[in-house]
Amino acid sequence: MSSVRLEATTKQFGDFKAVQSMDLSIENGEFVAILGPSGCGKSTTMNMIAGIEDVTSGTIRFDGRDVTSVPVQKRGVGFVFQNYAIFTHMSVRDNLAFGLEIQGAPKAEVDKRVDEMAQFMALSHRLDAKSSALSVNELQKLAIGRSAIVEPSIFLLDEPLSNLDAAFREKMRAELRGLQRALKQTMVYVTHDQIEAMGLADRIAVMNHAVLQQFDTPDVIYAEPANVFVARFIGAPSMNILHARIGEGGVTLGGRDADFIPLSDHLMSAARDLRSPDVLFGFRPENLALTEPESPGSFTAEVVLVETVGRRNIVHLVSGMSNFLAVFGRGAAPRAGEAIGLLVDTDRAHLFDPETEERLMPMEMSHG
Amino acid sequence: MTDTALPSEKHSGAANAPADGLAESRQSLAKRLILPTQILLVFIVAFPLIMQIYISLTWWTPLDGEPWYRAYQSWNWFDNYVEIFGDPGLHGAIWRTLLFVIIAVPIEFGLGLLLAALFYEGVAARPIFYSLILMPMMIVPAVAGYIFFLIFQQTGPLNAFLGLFWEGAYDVNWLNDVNRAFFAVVVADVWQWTPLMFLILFAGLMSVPQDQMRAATILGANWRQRFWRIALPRIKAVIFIALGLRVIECFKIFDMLFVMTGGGPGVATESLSLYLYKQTFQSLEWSYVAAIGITVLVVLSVITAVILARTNKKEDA
Repeated sequence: MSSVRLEATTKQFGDFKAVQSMDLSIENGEFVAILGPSGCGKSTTMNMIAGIEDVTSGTIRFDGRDVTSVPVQKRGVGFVFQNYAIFTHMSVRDNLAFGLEIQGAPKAEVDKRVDEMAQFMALSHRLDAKSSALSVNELQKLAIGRSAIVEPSIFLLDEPLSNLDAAFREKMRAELRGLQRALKQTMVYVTHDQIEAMGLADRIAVMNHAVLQQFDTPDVIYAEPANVFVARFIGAPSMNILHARIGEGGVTLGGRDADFIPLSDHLMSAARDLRSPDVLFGFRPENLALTEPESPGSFTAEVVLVETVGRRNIVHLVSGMSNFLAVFGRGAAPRAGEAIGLLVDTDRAHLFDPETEERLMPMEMSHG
Repeated sequence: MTDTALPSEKHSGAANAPADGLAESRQSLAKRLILPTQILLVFIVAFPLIMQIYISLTWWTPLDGEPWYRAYQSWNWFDNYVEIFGDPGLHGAIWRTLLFVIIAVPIEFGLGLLLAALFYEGVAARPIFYSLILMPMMIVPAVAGYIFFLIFQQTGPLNAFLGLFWEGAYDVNWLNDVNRAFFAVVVADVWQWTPLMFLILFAGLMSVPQDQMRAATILGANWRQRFWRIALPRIKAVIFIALGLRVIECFKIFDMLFVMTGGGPGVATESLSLYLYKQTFQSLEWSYVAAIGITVLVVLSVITAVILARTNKKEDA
């Protein structure tokens, strides 16, 4: 149990920067997900924390102690691999005992702690089974138990649920969350699945192209994404980001004066420093409401396709040159080819700088 | 269905037969087509065996001037087999061969495993060492025997080298001394066949899942602990194969000895194969050789069957 701090941590493979000057501060007992598309550097980040990869530059601290040059064997992290990496030639008991035996713990203590851990993980009845005979669910518990028994300072999990089918994944996710709470462990969880990250983590670190994009609670990341990448990556379907033009008291979509959307002064204040009137206007598909075409404050779009997913209708729309999505309840089902009016919930809309793609902060929110 | 029948079936007169009649005739056609190959195979395997057994039950030798199929004229039932038990030359050869296997194979295994472990952890200039290590294996055993024949000469490079550390000339006659010759032969065999051990064991080690090794590392295991507790147990089957291959091969050793010592001095390095060779081409006792051949076959079959049965049982457990 400890806190983890990355300070300007960089990893370079030849000319390729895998992780660029990453600052990350994980609290004691926190469950943090590192989220990003493949190749964004999330696994490298975790491997550096574990000590599997050396750090090119920067510092890693556990509880304030510099562990940057501590080798992996001595660093005291628990690591759960994607495929669990259970020693399948050993029994469940031998797997659990492995870490303690390596440390040279006396036999009596090993036996006692193995029994305790088995009980805690509800694996007691399987202790003498060959570990190759376990179910996936038991494998996950064994993998976590095998690491937890040596009382690591932190736990690292490398997409442990990605091999499972969707229904089972949900069950395992709940179990994992429960285990984390029970063990009161600092856990860092790497995943490319935003639903998993949103559901499990206290805070999410979103990465892209070797750079940390945003590190915050799931709610904040969803409601106030730091930039276009985070806005698009989080949420399904992802946020609509349309080219717009700043006008008096609102924005115009696609250069059509008819599609003028009035915005609050609060949101407009975000654009105060922009040099050109061009801006990116972002809103989530679920924050659109259906209305009559040409009604005040609305803009017009043409329905391309309607997908029905459960109790939702996902409507593909085109307005001017832009394609975007809307999510309506089952009640509102426009037909393909129809022209509809749309109202944006502007309290939940965002403006992004078209050059930097950073979100533009409204006045009250900005900190100088 | 008959509409889609192949032309060949129409030729065989089955075109109008009902569906299973068709299948049946197709099967019998298949059987007939395979038959010549099967007969050939049976002939290849069975004929030499039967011929051997037949000859082994007689006193026949080519010196009789009779063709082998007339061997029944000197029928003697199992006298040749009885003779096996009272032949000190044969017993000596078997004992020496066993000793050779018991000494050479473990050394080859140990060195091969050591090399494989070093390679697995990664050494500098791996590809160059890799080719160098495998080189001895590619050399024809007779040539390897010749190389060591030269090295162990009284005026050879080995003595010249050892002479550097000795007062005066070092002129041991390696291949003319009973114990030294045996030592020299073991060295040659180890030199030639350690690479094969290495190759098989290294391939085995490479198949050990990286994640498991890494998991062990993170749990605090050092190099040695990972090797003994994860890698070795996982390649048990590969180790058995490597040892089995070398034991069988080593038991048949012939060419290297033939070139290096010719089995000498005296019979000090005479292996089973070399003894059989001498019986065949020097004593011309072909019926006796046949009896030994059959006996070895029976013994090896029994041993193999026992090992296979035990392995299968283990896998079921």
